[in-house]
This record gives sequence, structure tokens and C-alpha cells, in this order.
Amino acid sequence: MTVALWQPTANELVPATADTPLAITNYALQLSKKDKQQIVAAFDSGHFEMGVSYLWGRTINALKKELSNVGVGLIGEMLGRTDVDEDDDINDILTEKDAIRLAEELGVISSTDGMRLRHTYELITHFSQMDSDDGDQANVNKHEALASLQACVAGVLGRPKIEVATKFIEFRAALESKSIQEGDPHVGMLKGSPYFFYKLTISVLMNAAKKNVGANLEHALANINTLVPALWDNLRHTERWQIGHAYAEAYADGKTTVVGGLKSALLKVKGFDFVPENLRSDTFVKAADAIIKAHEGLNNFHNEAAAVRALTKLGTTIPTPAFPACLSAVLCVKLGNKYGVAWTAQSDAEQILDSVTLERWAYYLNNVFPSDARIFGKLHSAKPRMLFISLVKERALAQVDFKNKTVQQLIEAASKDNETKLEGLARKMHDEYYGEQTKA
Amino acid sequence: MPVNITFRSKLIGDVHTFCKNSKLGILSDQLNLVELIVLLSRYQEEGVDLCPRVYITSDVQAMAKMLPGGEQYKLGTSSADQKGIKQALKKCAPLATGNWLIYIADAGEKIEYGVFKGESNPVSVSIDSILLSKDNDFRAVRVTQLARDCVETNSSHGDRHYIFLNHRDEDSPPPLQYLEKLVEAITAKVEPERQEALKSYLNKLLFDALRQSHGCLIAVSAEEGVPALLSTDGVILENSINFSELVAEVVSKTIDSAQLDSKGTLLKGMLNSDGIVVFNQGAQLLGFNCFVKAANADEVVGGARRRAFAALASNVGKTLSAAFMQSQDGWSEFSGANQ
Repeated sequence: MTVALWQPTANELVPATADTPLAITNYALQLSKKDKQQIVAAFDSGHFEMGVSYLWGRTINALKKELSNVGVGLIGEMLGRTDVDEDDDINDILTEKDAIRLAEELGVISSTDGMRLRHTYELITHFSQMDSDDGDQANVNKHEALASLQACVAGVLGRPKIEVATKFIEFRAALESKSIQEGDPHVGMLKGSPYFFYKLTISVLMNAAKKNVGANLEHALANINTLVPALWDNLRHTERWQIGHAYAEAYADGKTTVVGGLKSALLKVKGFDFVPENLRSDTFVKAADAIIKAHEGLNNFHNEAAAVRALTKLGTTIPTPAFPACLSAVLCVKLGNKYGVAWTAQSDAEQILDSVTLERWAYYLNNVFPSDARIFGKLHSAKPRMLFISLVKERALAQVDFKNKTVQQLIEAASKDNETKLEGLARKMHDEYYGEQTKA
Repeated sequence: MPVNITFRSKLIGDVHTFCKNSKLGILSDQLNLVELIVLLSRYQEEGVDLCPRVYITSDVQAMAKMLPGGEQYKLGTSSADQKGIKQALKKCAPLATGNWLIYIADAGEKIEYGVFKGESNPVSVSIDSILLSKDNDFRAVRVTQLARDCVETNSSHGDRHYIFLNHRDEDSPPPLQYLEKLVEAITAKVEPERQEALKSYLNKLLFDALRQSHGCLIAVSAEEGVPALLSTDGVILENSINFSELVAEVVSKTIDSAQLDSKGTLLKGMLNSDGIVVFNQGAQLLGFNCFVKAANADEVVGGARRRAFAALASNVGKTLSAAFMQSQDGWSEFSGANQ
């Protein structure tokens, strides 16, 4: 049984008959009259690139604002960021790619809308990164501009404001406002859900334990003691380390009540092996976050090198609690995106990958990769897929002792140069992680 | 023929149940615990008084895993008897100062001993609240000297004793029994969300400071500043030390914990000075070296400190919200408005 705590709604915000800038912008409820006029004027006068850039700024701001309604702290936890709290500005912590991915994960937009928004983002990135000579010769054409306008209005701007994931907010509130008992139907539903829901629930609970006081804290700790043991056997190491990290952080910060609650849950699951020996791993996680931010921001091919260099300077021995985040970040650099890789960052990335033993690859592939949506998501694009195949062959990753059948098949397909099968298996991993219901 | 009379036989009988409930192999012979208690009650090395905290545990690895950011050094092994305990204490006690504690772990017919510590962050959760808890997978007993001739034994199975090796009455309050009340008074007007970490910090800081002090007086002002009673003769800080603010800043990583440590060191110095240390109820340290006109000598039995305490106590509920006194031998008294 698959729980449907939140789901994308059917998207018919812009009818197919709307095929001119004026007709499409009429459906953009979140745009002011002035914004609409400026976009239409830019399109009508053939200034497509300017119009699309302006439109994108409005779209991504609206999306980030919608996402901030679920709580900046939670967004930080979902991104695996340890340095984010409710007082932070969402614009500082959320890259544009992350915003689209989280909106998809939270069911704010469908995966089709997500794909179209990503395409618009890539279009803008592509043209903004051109040097002036190339830029003079290549332009966004009318067809691309209209498709972008359609995507932005249908995905984000056509929705009434603050419509966001109401069901999700309710679910999140329940985790903090009532104590769920072991026999509660929610527990059974959650256990039967795709892994994404496990990951999200753990993030919500750890975030709640960190920021709540009084009755809300008691509910969160009670729910941790019910849900963590219920999910533990199926939790991957990233999430187990997240719980251990929350314990270590609460201990260092003098939060006696939180420590008591988390300790009790960790004792129930014999989980103290996942408590980091110290918080030194935080420095590595922050360096990994900086790489991801550079990789997914504008000018990534320029900015990645400094971020990867900063990680190499921390030392070659990455502490185990930080290893999932660090390897994922380095793989982002190594695999690049559909346009290629940051060449200046490759030697440092290689140096880090050279220090990863086969045992650690096995750890990553078995315990982290199945929920590393950022990495298996890259295998949908041709260039990263080819680089992944090279990586698998160079590092002989097929020799790993696999525990996950899909991952094993995927690595074997890569080692045999079977690109079609590899792409299909990456889609299977996506479905296993998010469940079928996220398909639009 | 003369007959020897000692505390020993009485003590062996009294700790029997404690040892049995602990389910620790090394304490199956009560003499081992008695030896440790007697040693700790007046422990000295090279003429220096030492009061280490000793944890006896069934699983030192499980214990260490619960203390992230901690460290542990094994210093040796010895026989699981009185001789072994004496040896463990001799090797470890001089090292067990500051945050360092002694562990003695059951290892079958032998014991393993060494020193360990928890997280260095001064606001971290107290080690006792983690190690001496019933739901742990391992057993642990803590033995500590609280004051000269008074040793506390506390355990993860819930038993707790104060053992007096002097002529005090059975119903005497233990030394430092008022420490928690003092911390409550100092933090009474601190925002609730800040209280937990602040109380944990002040409890640890004052416990250590008072153990090292040769007696002191602490007054908690009912007002923001120092009351007139104490402000005429004393050192009043131009900028008070706001422990609530400092602890919150350490928790939010705005400042380094060393800044909080340094203020703690100042407080320890103040407690070793003559006179009264003054806080307000917002955990602000306002002044020290303050003096008060002592109560009439005919009304109070005792020295200058006790008479000063009597004068402070008579003002509790007026300009003071609490007064605390620790005498030279480590025993304390408390008077609070909400007592």
C-alpha cells in the first residue's frame, strides 16, 4: 500500500489554445499587470532572451516563496544542510535546481512541469554563459521563448499564491502536534511508502527535535521513538547518520531533553554506531554543500574548482558521517551536466575519488546511492551517463559486493557499455525512490 | 583483650544492596566499593587534595559511544580486587582534573582503567544524565567525593547514597544539596527556551567551582542590579557578565566556547575571593568581594561567614531572592524566596 500524503495536482492551468504571449500571460495569476505587459512587450519586439530572463526571475522567486511556506529549517534538512535555521533567507540556501527538485519532491509541481522548468533554466544558463562573440550569433528563438513562458506559467505562475502542499503541511504538523502510537494507521502507511517519504519523515522529526520546545518537542520525541524503530531496518546509512548527528549536536548544545529522547530511540534500534565520534564531519559536509551550490548555481563551470579545492584541503580521509555528502558532491563535479563538466575542477575531483577505496564505494553504492536522487537523476542525460560508464569501468565498480539488485544491474549495465539499459535502470531507481505516483 | 571498633563493618553492610543491584562483577565483593569510598573520602597525591569522579562500568565502549566529541585513554589493567582499585586510582587520579574523569571497566577477572571525558563544549549535556540512566544497555556506578569525609555513590539502576565518614547525623543534608536550588534562583527570570542549556552549564560550573572553593557566599538579587545592601562595599562590575547571553551565543555558534570558559574561570576566581558574589535572576554576574553588615554575634552561632549569611538570609524576600553559603568543609546552606 502506498501512502499518498501529498501529490501533484492535475495540471491544466494553461489551455492548449493559449499560444501567444498575451494569451499565456493572461493565465499568470502571480504576475502583476506591469510584469505581464513588460514580458509581452519583450516577446513582441523579439527580445526573447531578455523576456525569458525576466520571466525566470519572477518564476523562481515565486517558487522559492511557495517552498519557504513549508519551513526554511525543513528545506535545509531536506538538502542535508547542517547550517540552516528558520531565520535564514530561502534565497541564500536554495539553488534554482534545488528549488525545482524540492518542488517536485513535495508535490508542488508534477515531474513533467519540473522537467520543463529545468529545461527553461538550462536554456537561460546556456545563453548567459556564452561569451560575447558567441552570444551575438546565437539567440533564444521564438519557439523556445514561448515554450519557456508556457512552462513557467503552467508550472508556477498560473497557480494562486500559497497553494503549496497543504496536505504535506498537515502531515508535518501532525508529527509535531500529536503523539502517534505504534498501532496508528499512519505508521503502517508510512512503512509501505516509497523511500522518499522515509527520508522526509526523518528530516521533519530531526528538525522538530532541534527547534521545538515544550509540548511540540515532547510530541516530536515521542514520534521519534515510535517511527525511528518502525523504519530503522529499512533506513539507509545517510538517514541513520542524520539521526546520530542530531543526537551528537543536541548533546554538544546542552539539550538534555532532546538527548534523552534520541538516546532512547537509538537504544531501541542499537543505533549508537551511527553517532559521529565528533562534529568534525560538519566541516566536510559544509564543504560538500558548497560544491553542490556551485555546481547547481549559475557559472558552475567557473565556480566548481574553488569549492572542490576547499574540500581537498580538508584532508584525504573523509569522516564516515560526511562521506555520503562528500562523494555525492564530488560525483556531481565528475559527471557534470548535459553541457559537460567543469574542466578546472576535474583534477581535484579525481584526487578525491582516488582516495576512495573499493570498500567505501561498496558502502556508497549499497547504502547511499539508492536515495541519492541528485546522482541517479544525472543518468537521464547523455553526457553524464557516458562519464558514469567511464567511472564505473575505470574504478572497476562491478567488483563490489552488491546488496541492492537495481544498483547491481545498473552498475553491470554501465560496465558493459549498455547505455540504454543503464538509462532504463536509472528511471527504475527514480520510481523506487519516489514511488510511481509522482509521475504526471 | 581490647576490641577494635571501625566504620568498616557498618559500611560493608550498608553498601551490600547497592552492590548487589549494580550487577557489576567487580562490586560482587562489597569490599571493593568500600575501599574506593574510603580512598576517595580524603584522597591525596603528593600532599595535594584530589577529588576525581570515578565511573565503574560494565561496557566502556558503549559508554564512549554515547559521548560524541569525547576522548578516552586506557592507562592499564589490574586485578579486580582492592589492590587493583588502589592501583587504578593512583595512576588515574592525578590526571582526572578539569573535564577528565576516571573509568574502571569490568573485564572478567581483571579491571581495565583509564581516563575519559565528554564533549569539550562547556554547555554540553551533563555526563551523568547520559551514563546514569536506567534505559542504558550497560551498567554504571559513579563514586565521587562531595566534600571532605562525604562520598556520593550513584548508579544507573537508581540507587543513590551519601556516605558520611564523620559524626554527622544520618538525616544531615548532603553537601551541595542546595546547588540545584541556587541555579534555579539564578535562572528564575531567564527565557524558558534558554534555561535547559544554561542550567546544565551553571550546574557543572558551580559544582566544580564550589568543590575547589574554601567556602563562599552567593547572593541572588531580586532586582536587576546589586541591592544597596551590598553595593556600598564591594566590586561591582561595570559590565555585568551575562551567562544567559553567553550560553545562547555558544549554542548558536556565534561565539567560540572558549569565551564562555574564560568567564567561568573568572567566576571561579571570584568564589575564591573574600566576600559575597552577587548574581541577579537573569543569570547575570553583577559583582563580587561584597560585604554586608553582619548579624548580631549573639544571635548566630558561627564565624564571620555564617553571620554574613544570616544577614543575607534576613533580606531574602525583600531585596534578595536567594542566599547561599558554602562553609570551609564543603557543606552548604540556602535561603530562597520560593523555598
